[in-house]
Amino acid sequence: MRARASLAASMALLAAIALAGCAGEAEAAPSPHPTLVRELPSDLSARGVLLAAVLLSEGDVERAVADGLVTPAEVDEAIRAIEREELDVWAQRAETEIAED
Amino acid sequence: MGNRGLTALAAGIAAAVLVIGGIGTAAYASDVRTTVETALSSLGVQASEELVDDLVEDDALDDALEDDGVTDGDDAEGDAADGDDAEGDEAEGGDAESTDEELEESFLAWNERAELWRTAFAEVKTEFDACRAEAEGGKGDCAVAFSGRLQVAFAETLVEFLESQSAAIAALPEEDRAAAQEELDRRLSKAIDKLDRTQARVADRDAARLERAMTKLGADEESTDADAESPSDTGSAGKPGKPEKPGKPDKVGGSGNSGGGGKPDHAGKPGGK
Repeated sequence: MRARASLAASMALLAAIALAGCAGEAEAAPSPHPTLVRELPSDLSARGVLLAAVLLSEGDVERAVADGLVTPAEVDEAIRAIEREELDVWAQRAETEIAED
Repeated sequence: MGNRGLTALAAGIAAAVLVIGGIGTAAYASDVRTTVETALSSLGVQASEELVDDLVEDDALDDALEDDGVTDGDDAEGDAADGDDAEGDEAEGGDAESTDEELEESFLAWNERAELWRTAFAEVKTEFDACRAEAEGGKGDCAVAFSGRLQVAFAETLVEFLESQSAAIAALPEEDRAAAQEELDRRLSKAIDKLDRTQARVADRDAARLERAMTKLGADEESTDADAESPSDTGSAGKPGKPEKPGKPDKVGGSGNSGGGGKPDHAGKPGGK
């Protein structure tokens, strides 16, 4: 009787260890960059951020905003992304969105 | 028979128009595409073909991209030899140019320039932050001014980088020095040219924006005066100053931009040349 209880306890312990191990493994997986997963407001898109970045360096962002090509929010985000060197993350998001379309 | 001939002629003309139009469109699209690709690459983004396709599909991009050789007719001089700067004066196309561009890329590996560029960017960004802190409503103007500064900073880093390469040339074997120096001089000359044109373009744009802002300000004042003078039809003459225009929204288009447009003083970043 005691042996049976001890066996059950051991198995429970093993199961717990295994579960904890799995959980640990799951946690160890790199979490995606917040930019890739956060929900974007309606005036912000990954494509727009990239376009804004291009226009900031090579074009007339004022005209682009006036033409509705990019939004002020996208211009702001592009500036932030350039500053933080995160434009590639926006590109990754845009690539994903294109692939999903 | 005559009708058939006319039909054939019309079809021929239509086909020719389509072909010529197609060629023109293709060339233009290619220019825009190259500009977008180069700009992304300069910003450290490796974009897939699909992404670039997606980015360039909007026709309005043609207007917003200011390519000296394409958009600005008065900048045409010297452009035949000026299509290969790393940042994208590449509108003219052609084999010689693409070869030149490759040379440019190997000559100007982005990593070598990156530190220089980041420093320049940090300076511009500081001004941008200050602008935004000051500007209550017209933050978009700060972004516009920032864009101009950024473009000038890009051009400046190219000049600074090339200027810094003289020491590297001195370290080359003697037989290679002359050719390398000649190439460096050629590129430096073009880079300085590009910097001048960028500064002029940004200054023009700032001036135009300032003018628009002044005009708008004048118009606003006039309409305010008119409102104040006109007899009130609702009998609320005692409230001429009804706050009907509460801080025009963040219009990047140049309204209320005594701050944003008023940044032409940036043009001569010390040490640019």
